[in-house]
Amino acid sequence: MIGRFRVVRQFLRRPLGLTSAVFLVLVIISVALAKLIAPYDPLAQDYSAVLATPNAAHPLGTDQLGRDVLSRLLYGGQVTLIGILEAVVVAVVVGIILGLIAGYLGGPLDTVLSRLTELVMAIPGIVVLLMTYALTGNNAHAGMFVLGVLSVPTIYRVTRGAAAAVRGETFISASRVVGIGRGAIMVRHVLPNVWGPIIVNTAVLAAVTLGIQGGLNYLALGVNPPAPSWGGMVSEAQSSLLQQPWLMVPSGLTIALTIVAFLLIADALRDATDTRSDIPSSAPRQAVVEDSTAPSAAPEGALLAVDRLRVAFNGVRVVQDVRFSVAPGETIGIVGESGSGKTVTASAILDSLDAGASVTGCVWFQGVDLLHAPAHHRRAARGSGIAYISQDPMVALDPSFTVAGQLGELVARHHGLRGAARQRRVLELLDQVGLPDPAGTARRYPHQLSGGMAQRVSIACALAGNPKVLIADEPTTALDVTIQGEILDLLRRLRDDTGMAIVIITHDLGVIADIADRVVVMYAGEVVEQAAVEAVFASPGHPYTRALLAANPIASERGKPLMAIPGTVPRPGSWPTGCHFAVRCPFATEACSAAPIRLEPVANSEDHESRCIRIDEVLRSSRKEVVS
Amino acid sequence: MTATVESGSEVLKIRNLSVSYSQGFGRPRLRAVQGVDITVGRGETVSIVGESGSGKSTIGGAILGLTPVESGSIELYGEEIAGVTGKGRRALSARLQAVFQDPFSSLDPARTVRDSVSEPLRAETGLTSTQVRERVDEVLRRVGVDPALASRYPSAFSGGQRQRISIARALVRRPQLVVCDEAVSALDVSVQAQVLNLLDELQKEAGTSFVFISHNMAVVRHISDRIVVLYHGRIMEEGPAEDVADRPAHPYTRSLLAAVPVPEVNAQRARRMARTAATVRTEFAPVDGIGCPFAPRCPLAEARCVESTPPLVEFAPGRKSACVRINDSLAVGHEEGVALTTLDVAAS
Amino acid sequence: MIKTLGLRLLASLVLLIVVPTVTFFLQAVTPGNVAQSILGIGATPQSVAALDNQLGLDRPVWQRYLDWLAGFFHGDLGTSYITGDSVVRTLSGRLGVSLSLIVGALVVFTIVGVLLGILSTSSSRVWGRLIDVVSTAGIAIPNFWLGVLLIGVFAVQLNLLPATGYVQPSENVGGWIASLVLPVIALAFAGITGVAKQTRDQMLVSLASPYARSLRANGASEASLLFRHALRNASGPIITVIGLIFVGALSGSVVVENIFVLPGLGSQAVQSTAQRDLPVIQGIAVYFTIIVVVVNVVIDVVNTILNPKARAS
Repeated sequence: MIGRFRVVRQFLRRPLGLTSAVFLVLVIISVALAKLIAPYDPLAQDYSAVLATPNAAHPLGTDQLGRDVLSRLLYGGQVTLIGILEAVVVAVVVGIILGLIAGYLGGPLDTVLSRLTELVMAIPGIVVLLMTYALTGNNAHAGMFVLGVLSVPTIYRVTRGAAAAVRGETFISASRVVGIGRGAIMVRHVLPNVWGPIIVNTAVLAAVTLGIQGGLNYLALGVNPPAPSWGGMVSEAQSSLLQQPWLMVPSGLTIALTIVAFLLIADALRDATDTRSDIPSSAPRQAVVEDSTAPSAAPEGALLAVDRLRVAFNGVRVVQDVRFSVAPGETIGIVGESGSGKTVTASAILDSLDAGASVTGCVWFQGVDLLHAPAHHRRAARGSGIAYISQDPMVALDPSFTVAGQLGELVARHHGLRGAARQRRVLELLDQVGLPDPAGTARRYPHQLSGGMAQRVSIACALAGNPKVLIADEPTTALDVTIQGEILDLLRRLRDDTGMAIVIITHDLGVIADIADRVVVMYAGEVVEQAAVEAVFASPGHPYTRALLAANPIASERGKPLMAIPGTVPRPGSWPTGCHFAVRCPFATEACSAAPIRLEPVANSEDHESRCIRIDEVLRSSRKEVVS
Repeated sequence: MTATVESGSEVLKIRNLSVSYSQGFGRPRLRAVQGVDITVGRGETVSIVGESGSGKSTIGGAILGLTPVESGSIELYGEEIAGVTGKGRRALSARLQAVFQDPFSSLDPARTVRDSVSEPLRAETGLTSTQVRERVDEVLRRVGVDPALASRYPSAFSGGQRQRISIARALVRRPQLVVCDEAVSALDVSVQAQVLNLLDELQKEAGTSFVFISHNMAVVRHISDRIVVLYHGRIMEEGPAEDVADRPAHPYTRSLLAAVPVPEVNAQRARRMARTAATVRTEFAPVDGIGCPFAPRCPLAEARCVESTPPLVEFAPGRKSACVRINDSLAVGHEEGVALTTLDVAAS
Repeated sequence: MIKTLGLRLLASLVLLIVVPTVTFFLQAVTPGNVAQSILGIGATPQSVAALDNQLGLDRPVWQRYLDWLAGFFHGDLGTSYITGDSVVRTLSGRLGVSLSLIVGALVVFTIVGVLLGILSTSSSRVWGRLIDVVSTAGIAIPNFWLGVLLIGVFAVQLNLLPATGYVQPSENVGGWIASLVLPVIALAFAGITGVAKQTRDQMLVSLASPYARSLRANGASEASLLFRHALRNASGPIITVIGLIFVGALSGSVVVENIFVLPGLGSQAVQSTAQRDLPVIQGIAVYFTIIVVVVNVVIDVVNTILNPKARAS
């Protein structure tokens, strides 16, 4: 089991959860010891002291028959807590077993069990409970057993969902290949990965059960007055509501606090078991722009220019000192491996960094620094100045709207077109991105499109505002290689037809060679080299660029080992002081690690920059070494 | 049946394998793999290459017992293994192992690295816990992971390191055949090179055979002895790696190769021309599964391509193609520069 | 689409006889004698046998079950053990009361819940936190306590609304509404928090999705992202939760009717349970299930309209 003790430790560290657990334990102990600690018999009536407010003799007062409220609360808790235990145990045991079976094994058994639980959930549980009480002569245990059965779907669904998710994981396949049996896989691999959500939901179920059981006891079901129960005491309080409202407090508050305790324990368990939720905790928020950068002038001739861009997430720097510029109609390729910061750079330009990010630097667009410009400026640039297409076309379109629906919205937004004029423009755009049947495509929903078609529609959406720059983040990575070529051809044609500039982000140097005019090579959050595409491939000016080219199996000779780069990319937060590539670099000297290295022009070239102090040695060294 | 590998040295022999999936009530079954023959010899790496929907991973799943086989046979050292499950699989695991694609989901996050790597050894009886520990340490060291870190959970490792650990798990029982399903696809180029080199070294040391499933022609060309090109569940072309990758015989193989962008500007410009020229939509399409599946996109397509399904024919020793216009295709192939060998970075 | 809905409707009809079937099954397996418990412990064996005979309880369970089924398909739900009246007639006046309460609560928790959810999505962290607190309260303050508290505050202390009782809308519409306000709030409270939480969560998922990012970057307005895209994509899950909460609210209505002394199905159900009047409870089960079936069908229709994938299949 994944760090069972770690979970306990984590749980104990959460003050609310810990307090709740202590409270609950105290409640359980005092209820269990009711016989010893209750000051009175719960049924003993005292007509000399009816409806008393709290006093020394009766800490919580007395009810309309002069019975001691505290004593009734303690004894009444026994019915309540035992009932919860019965119902929850039934629900959890049956729910886990059925859920694991259905979730992990799948198939027809899963279908049958899932339909059955749907059926149970559609039954108004109360009538089954009423019937149970009617048939068993108001038997508390029978009622709680049935309540447990009615609650099975809650635990079943959680377990099944988690188990089904785990089933698709590759590590399960790996175990099956080794011949580990189904039962063993469930115990060894499925259960340890699903028990987090199960215990969290068990705590929630206990809270809900307490509420339902209280309601039943209020109706005198599962308990026979004058025997005390928490719910029953609320009913008694109601009958003397006019005379003594205080009576509402002890019973009701005890129920509420106990429920809250269960819920807070569930919350703490959720954190402690790291039961990840796909649900973000808040709406996307603006990244913080820190204004520590001395203002630079808008660069001449550039349509888009990024200058001294630095991005940090929660204090950890992920991108620093990034600068490059894009001329009108130019195609810039930003290339790098995972962790290079290329996508974060694009997000900074697009003003779509996640919450927790802080940015410094400048993003010049048509003479305006978008990072420091007022919000309406930035909004105005979206779509009509800078447009965007993302990596996976299948999730880049809203599944609830037709192609015409979402494309039309953007057309209307940018050009104020309505009705037939809007539709005409939609069809023009779809035609422009090379879709063979624009009218037919316009009527379709995203799930009815192939990956290549969806990417074309995404591109049409980006074109809706006639942008000056298109930012394409790995636009072909999710596509089959033959489709990839078609999309690259399309982007090239659109660039030539419309004169827009393109910033294409990719990990594939081949894509760069296919479409880019200039290349920005990024490594571990920094630009390490930039130049015209021919120059970078013909004489790479940074050891990382060389190594990246050499590691590509395309350039390999069969039967010889590839020129792998040893080691791994340093993670953000653990970047070295000097050159980020130094530890993996064959050219590195001590000086490389001593101080930060600047991005500087490579000798004899205006447009070629490299972040390397060993640049002369690098250029001098035989290029054959790189490719063979 | 013409085996390209001498009998006796065959590790894996797949004959006439078909797999189809149910698509729900009232819909025709999806034919994922149709009548595929593949033979893998000792110490040989055979790659299955294709795009999404080609059925390449289905074949891997069938070999590993993860996908039910509809018809055909899969023999490991002459022993039928199609549909073998449970105890039989456990016994097979001494000889047959797998490395999967996603390094982030191929290790159980709730188990330590040592747990995961030693799991295959559970099927091996008579090992003391010390022996198990030694075997795990040895194989971890071999793949370049410090055994001192074995008590950590997978989350502590990078993608490349996790893939090394997955390889360690696959090799801990010293199998004769390893199925690598997109084993390097999720890795960055620099790390991918490390892992490819590692696989190559391990194969040379132990004479292990590999079935290497990938969509990446460049990777496949580098690592394979033979390549099987798959499209819509059928073999389009098969042959020695250098032949298939450098002198493709089937129009589909050629379009697949032409689509690989290479990191050299002039070469890529030429390849782009070839690629664009080869991108066509034809009027020919297979009906009811009869006819060449590539006909709708084939520059050489004509009516007879869809009259019947072109059989896989040996047109030269060790080379097969399922194209009725094989001679025309070969003639075209020599004029176009789609092969990756036309890339000569050093020459510029 | 029509075919899918038709199939769903058929499946829902199965639901109608599930509860009665289960109850006959329970009768077969539970020890004890209904006539004995109706008459009390002091009854003589002769009088128990006589009552057994009179109610037909001396016949085997499966025979009674088949009789009941036959009656069910003719719109006859049997007769009360206690009054001897037909179950359908016993319940006829009560359905309207329960429907007023339940539909009222459905409307309230849907509208208030969705609005609250949207509000907490669009603005600051404070609202999100508030929803978390409120949704805890939704479970922590159970309807029976909330109901009594509401009576204590609004009827007893402030004297704004009637504490208990029901006014027919045909008599006095204002009085009808006034008699329903507190019960509807008590019943809807837990549902509001459930709907609000689901609304917020699903809208946040949608707002964080790649398509929202693409739309925003390409110029879609924040208002469009929130109301057109996020709300639309959240609507399916929200409606599903409303369906589940509704079934829970049906159970809750039994408690709430008793708190506020509303002459609906729920108060009859509790009374009949105390009297061991099985045919009436069974009849109420059928009525409740019909309500669930109707609501499920409406939800299916709405979902099909909103979800293009469901529409296609």
